[in-house]
Amino acid sequence: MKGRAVLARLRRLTPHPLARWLWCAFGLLLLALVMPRVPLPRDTVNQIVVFDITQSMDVPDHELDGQSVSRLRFARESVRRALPALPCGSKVGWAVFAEYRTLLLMAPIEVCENHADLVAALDRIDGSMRWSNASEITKGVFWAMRAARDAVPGGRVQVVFITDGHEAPPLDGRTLPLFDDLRPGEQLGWLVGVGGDTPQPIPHADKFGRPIGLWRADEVVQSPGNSSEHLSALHEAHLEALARRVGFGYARLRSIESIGPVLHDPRAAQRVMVPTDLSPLLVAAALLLVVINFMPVRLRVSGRATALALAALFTGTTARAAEAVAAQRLAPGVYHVAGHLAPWGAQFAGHVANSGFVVGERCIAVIDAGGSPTAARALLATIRSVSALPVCYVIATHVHPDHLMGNDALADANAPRAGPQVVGHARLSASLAARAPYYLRAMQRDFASADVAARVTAPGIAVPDRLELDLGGRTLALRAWPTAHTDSDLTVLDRTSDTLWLGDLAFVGHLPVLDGKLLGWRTVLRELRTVPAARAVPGHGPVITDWPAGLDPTDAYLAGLERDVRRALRDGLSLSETVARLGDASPEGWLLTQEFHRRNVTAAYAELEWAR
Amino acid sequence: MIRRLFMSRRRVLALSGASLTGTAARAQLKSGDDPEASPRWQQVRAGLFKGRTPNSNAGEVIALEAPARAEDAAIVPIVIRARFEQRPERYIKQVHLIIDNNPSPVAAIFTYTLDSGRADIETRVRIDEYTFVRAIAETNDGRLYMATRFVKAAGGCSAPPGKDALAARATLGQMRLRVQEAGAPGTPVLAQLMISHPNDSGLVMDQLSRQYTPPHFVRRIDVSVGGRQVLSADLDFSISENPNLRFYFVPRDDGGTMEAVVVDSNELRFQQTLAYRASP
Repeated sequence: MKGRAVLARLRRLTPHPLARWLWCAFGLLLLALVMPRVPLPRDTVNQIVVFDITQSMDVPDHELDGQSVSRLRFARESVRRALPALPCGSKVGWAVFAEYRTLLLMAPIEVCENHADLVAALDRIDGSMRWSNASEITKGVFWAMRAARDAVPGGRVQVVFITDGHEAPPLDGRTLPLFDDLRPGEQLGWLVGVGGDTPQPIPHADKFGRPIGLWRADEVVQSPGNSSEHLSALHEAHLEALARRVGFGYARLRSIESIGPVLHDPRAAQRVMVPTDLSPLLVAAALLLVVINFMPVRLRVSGRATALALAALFTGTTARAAEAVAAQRLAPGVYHVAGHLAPWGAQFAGHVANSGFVVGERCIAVIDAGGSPTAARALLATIRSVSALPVCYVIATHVHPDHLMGNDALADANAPRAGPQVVGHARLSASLAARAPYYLRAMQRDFASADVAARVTAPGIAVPDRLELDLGGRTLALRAWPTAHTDSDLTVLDRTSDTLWLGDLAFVGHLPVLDGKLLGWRTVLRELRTVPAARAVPGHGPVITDWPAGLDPTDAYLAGLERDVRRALRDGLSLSETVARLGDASPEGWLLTQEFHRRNVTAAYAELEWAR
Repeated sequence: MIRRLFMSRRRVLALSGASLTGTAARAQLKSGDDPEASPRWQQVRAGLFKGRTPNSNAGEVIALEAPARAEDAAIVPIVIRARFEQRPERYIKQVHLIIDNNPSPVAAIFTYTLDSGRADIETRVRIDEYTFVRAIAETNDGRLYMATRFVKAAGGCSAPPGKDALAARATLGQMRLRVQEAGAPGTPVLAQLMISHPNDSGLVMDQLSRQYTPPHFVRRIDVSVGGRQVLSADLDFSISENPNLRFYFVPRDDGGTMEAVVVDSNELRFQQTLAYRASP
């Protein structure tokens, strides 16, 4: 009775039938907020994944996304991609093997709650961690069994030992006795073979992990009557024999997915009750109600966008749902997102640089993810309103924070599939390594906490000169330039539409900023003019349609700066006198002169005083 | 004397190294903070001045000019001006340039003589964090005077060198020495010394090798005129790439030769001389 009274009251409150549906949706959302996690039975697997990090694992005889990669990288990547498929409640820990021991890096922790941390730790596992060059794998496997036994007392932990089976020094047919405290078969586990069948030379690194060529035959311990220990292939027979002896399974990592069955070994599965969050279902239902009701009221939500929104919901991305920003379509598949004309700071959540994206038949490339995670997520929302294809590349046009502090926010753009690869100038990594800590600190100091980036990852693909990226049916031509605006300037040309992204090699409206070499920049501008383009997108300001004449204002400002600073130098002025003389001028036709002109005078002076 | 000072500076460096882990404490420095309360300054003061407190009412002795917000953290112009000329009855013996929150806070120690004419200096520094910058002058009577400025800048010490490294190596140690036209006899004349040197701080990581570039910086400059010392400077990597000093000297009446000797942290030694004419 009482319920009926409440309903009647609600009905009075909301005379419009449509609003009633919305109230229901609202109720569902409220319920989703307060709903506790429901324990549901799940088959979980606890495991310690051991990576062999000895030097033979650096042999690049695997292929990944069209590039040849080392055995270790391939192993890491396959585990990384398999991780999201593990049921929540499973625990995974990382261990590394070198010399004769397996050492636990990270004790097994729950995979769903700690996914980002597990991946972050996994990405750091590489050859530079090895403490010795020996590789006594048999003993390493024994050590791994011990580690797994001791990791979770009383619990069941599976060992997954990924190696190429290359023993150094060679065993020459000997078998080593199992440690006294271990019994064959007492420990669940797998040996996973990685590497090719053809013996390959092994990269030689010095004690700092720097590559110094290849191991030579006379530098390694050889077996009697056989001098091929400096070459390495997968020792499958050895690993199979070893697996039988300790009671492990053996599998070969032929493809990137081969690790799946190993990680999901039913023998290691334990059925436990895992608290499960069911609120996404309620949210989905609420959204469905809203969508169904608004459909006929022409909210302009296309069926496709609805499907995308629902898909996003089920992959859990709504938790960070961002409002899309307006995108301008420059040509079919080519989009431009304009940044605000302002200095990089808390205002506009750092969204002050232009961003763009190009949609191919296979995937999407982003050009400059933006100045903060917030800006990048808004960009992603815009991308998703246009296409559901994966984002395969995030291209950074240079090192400045207003262009790339959003990069890492796009790492899960394709979740649960692998994230995009970051592409930049060959010098970007070095430049970023030096500056990123300051950029991050500046964000913590000046930005709203929700807009602060946690990290900024160095590019995975470095462009030393030129590089073509294939998006399926269209190609982007990347070009790395000598020091100009910065020491890491990169331009992007979409060959299909002849759209050229200039990064900050050209400014429109926003005063050009000099953080590289003035004379170098002017030389680059002269060469840029010869690039055939229908339109060009500057790093700041509106799209240039009058090409290459749109470069003129940038060059004119730089020419004026050069002339004025040279004159000050001729007059014998010091740096601070020159800044005092020229710094207060506000060059005509530009915005933000107060913020950047003095800096430009300073940089130009320091460069030109030696150019005389 | 100089040697002893250099030793004491080493001790300060060791002290400051110990506190590098305390970055959180110095990350949130604001311009309104009390310059005396800066923990880095307390350490420097204890190491360099044996706990003596400089007179912060320095307006009659020296002035420090630095921008409130650095345009480029790797090139922050610093001007220190003496309020009086060097006279036997009163002159400035030494000026310390301290940048509290740099990895190595003692940026420079300038030593002057009566032949300096004026104990002025203009140079450029790198600034790593929001920080107080201090110029502390010691007069011939042994008193200390301190001028302080707060500078907002970040990232100077590990900013990648602007020029490409190979080109910088090729011109390493090139020097330019300039002297302004002399005025009336006995009046101080402005001179400028430019040194082509990367002044590597050792804080920039080479991404290929994952190694830090070893520090390589100009650590000592001696300038003399006709064999008489006019300026000596103990420097650190807080000084910007291509170190640049503007200073004064009193020319000999009959003209003469100015000589600059530069020694860097790899014990490389560079020398430059310049013959100048006396006033007409």
